[in-house]
Amino acid sequence: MSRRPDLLRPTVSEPAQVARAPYSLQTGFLSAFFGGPFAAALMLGLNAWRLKRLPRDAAWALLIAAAFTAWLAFTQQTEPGLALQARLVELGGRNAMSIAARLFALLACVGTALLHRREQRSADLFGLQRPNGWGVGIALIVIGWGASHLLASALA
Amino acid sequence: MTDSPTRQALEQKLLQAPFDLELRHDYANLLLAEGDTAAALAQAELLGQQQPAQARPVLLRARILLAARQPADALTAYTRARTLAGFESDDALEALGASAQSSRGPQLQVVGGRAVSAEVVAIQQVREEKVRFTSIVGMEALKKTIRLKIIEPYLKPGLFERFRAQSGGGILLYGPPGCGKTMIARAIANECNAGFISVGISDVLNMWLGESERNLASLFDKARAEQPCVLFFDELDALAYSRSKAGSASSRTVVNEFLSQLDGIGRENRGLLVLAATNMPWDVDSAMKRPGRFSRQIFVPPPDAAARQAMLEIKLTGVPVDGAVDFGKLATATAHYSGADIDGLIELAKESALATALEAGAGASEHAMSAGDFDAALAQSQASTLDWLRTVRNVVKYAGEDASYKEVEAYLKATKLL
Amino acid sequence: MDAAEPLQPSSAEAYARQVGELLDRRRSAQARNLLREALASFPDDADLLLQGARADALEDRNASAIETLQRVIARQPDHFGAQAFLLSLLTEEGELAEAERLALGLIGAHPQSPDLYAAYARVMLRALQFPKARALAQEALHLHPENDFALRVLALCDVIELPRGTDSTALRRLLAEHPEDQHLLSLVVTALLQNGDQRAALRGAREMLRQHPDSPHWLNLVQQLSVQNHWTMKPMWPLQRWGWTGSVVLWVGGVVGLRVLGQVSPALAGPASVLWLGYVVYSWVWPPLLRRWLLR
Repeated sequence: MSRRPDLLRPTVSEPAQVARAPYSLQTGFLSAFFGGPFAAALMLGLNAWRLKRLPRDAAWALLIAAAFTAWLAFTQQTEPGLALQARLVELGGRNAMSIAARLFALLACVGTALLHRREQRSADLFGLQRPNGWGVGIALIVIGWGASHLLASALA
Repeated sequence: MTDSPTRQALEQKLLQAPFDLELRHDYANLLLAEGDTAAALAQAELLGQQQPAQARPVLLRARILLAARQPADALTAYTRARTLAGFESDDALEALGASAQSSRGPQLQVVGGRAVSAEVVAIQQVREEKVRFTSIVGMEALKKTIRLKIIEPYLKPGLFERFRAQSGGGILLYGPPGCGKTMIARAIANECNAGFISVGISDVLNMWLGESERNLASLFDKARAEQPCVLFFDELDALAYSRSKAGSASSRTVVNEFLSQLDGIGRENRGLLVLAATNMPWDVDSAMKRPGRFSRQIFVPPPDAAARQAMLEIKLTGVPVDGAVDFGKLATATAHYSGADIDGLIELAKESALATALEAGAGASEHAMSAGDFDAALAQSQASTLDWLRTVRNVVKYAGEDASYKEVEAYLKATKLL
Repeated sequence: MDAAEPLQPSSAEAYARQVGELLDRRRSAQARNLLREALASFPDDADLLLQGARADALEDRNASAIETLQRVIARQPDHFGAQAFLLSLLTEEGELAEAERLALGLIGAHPQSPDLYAAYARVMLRALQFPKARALAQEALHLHPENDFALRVLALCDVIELPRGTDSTALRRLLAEHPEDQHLLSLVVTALLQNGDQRAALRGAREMLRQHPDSPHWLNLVQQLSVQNHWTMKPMWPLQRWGWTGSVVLWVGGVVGLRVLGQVSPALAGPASVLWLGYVVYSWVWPPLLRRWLLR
């Protein structure tokens, strides 16, 4: 008799419960770089769905989207935010805000990479077939960039 | 010689059914009966290639050789036929054998003429044609290497000891399949005037627990008892499969026994020359290649141009070939071809010639193989050794930090594959 | 040497053993010939069919092997060898739901078998269920502390889970006992790559290529690492060592650094921008060009 009978309960009894290989880190980082924080959040959600851990990771994706929305709202609609924006533009030039958004997206991506580190390593180790990142990557870039600009315009 | 109506009829039938072995056999017998021994021999050789494990074609060859007044070769072929399936005795050849035995004394089965105990039944003790280095055309560099590294140290151990040069131990011949490693091993045995015991995987491996190791030990003991003797292991990668890759304990214990025997601890291995051949040297256990075991490895490349030209000439003896066919050019065009590839090329050329003859309506015997037939054959065939050479090229190019494949590297560079 | 122990009188068994010996030595063609002969006399023998499945698996015909094993099990549901082999093939093929069902059934029938716990752990690892995989491997070791299979699975867990630079105790133990084991060496190369030790990984990969010259995996890896270890790739070291995180840091450093430089020393900002841009272009363009040149 096993000391741990809980280990002998089925975990992947249906094929639909089996995790699939996530999109590659390259797809994630490029989508985030060009698509911004919303693209990074969507990428996290998409990978979490493929890895069958959406309930666990959805909160992180929402947090990224919410944090960026809050940042935009802060810097576009509040006095301290507007002052901060002016200071950043003074220091970093006209593109300071978009650089800041990009940095935020990349940091979110680094966080995602750490969150899914084991899964990414396993996919490499077991030679799992990665999904093609081109179509999804371009879609995320378009959606992310579009959403960022729409939101920024709406809040301005 | 004009063709009889029966011969023409058989030739016609063969054109329509070239793979009918019975028909070809009848044709060969007819040629023999008509005294055309050269043509009969060619047919017998073709049958031998198509039925390598059968005694019948070899028996036929022996009869033809006897008719061609080559009793020694006839006897050799007859002896070989004894070891194959479907052997039936021939009175004339039996009588020849009996007279040869009474005049020479020793048994025919073992090179060197020593009697063999019946205990070790599984050993293949075969003496085929008396192959010597003179029988192997071309391959001069290889023959020189073998003479210096294997034959002379064996024949003159004292000389090598004076120079403190390495001698003894085993030698591993490696290279692409079908390039004559086994034939070279036989030639070495004959050059060394030693007995020859050839061992295949089926001679060692046994379904009974522990018997594989026992078989291996018996082989070595037998060879030691027959000294001077050459003990040749074919497909060494199967017998001594790398223990780091092997999944089963039994393959490891066989390798352990092999290593113990090679080390000859408590036993005398001096008069014993151990040779081995393999197409996959990377699958041979690494301990087998250490000093005192198969530390010397010799690359056996595909036949060079001179050897290929000689093969073409010999294999096409008795076959109608147009005088314009340039064997030298053919040899150049068949770079990296093994002996089997040359056979395949010749068969394709023959099919092309036969097809042409059929279309032209001429009798098969009137149409000679032309350069065009060989060109057509070349377009359809390629060297089977290229796969092996490309595999090893990857190792040489990307992982060749040690000296394991220096000879292969030199060959690849010389033939512009690297 | 012990005296030979004759097997119980059953020629099918003898054939199966002989075929097994040939397959152990990768002699598929000879094994198949013998198998054909054996199956002509014993067409339904489970052990022979199992060897047939092994021969198929050796030739990468896993689907055919699985089908054969399922037939064997349908006739002989208790055939352990067939079930165990089927479990390993299903895991390899990613049929994890079925593999799990089989593993649980086998463990139910053989609750004291550490190998079965380890096999189930491997299924869980493949299903990316890391805590459960590790727990199962440890359960196997609890049943038998030196179980080789369990240690291998634990070593796999370590390579996947442990932070960079951390050694795997299980891997070290296994290597001490089997210093030339090909699977373990393969795992070592993977661990080295994950730790960013490209040079050592290249040495390991070259050794593996020497052992398996016909392996496209090792050839590709050696080619890739040869490119990455080329002297002209030395400036890429931060990117090779830290991957995409390194890229992010370099980008941030470049943007911030150039901005600061523009305010502190405008004369240098221009050349620095060119250098930084040049490095970005170099990092994208040079590796594929180098690869094409080195592998021509």
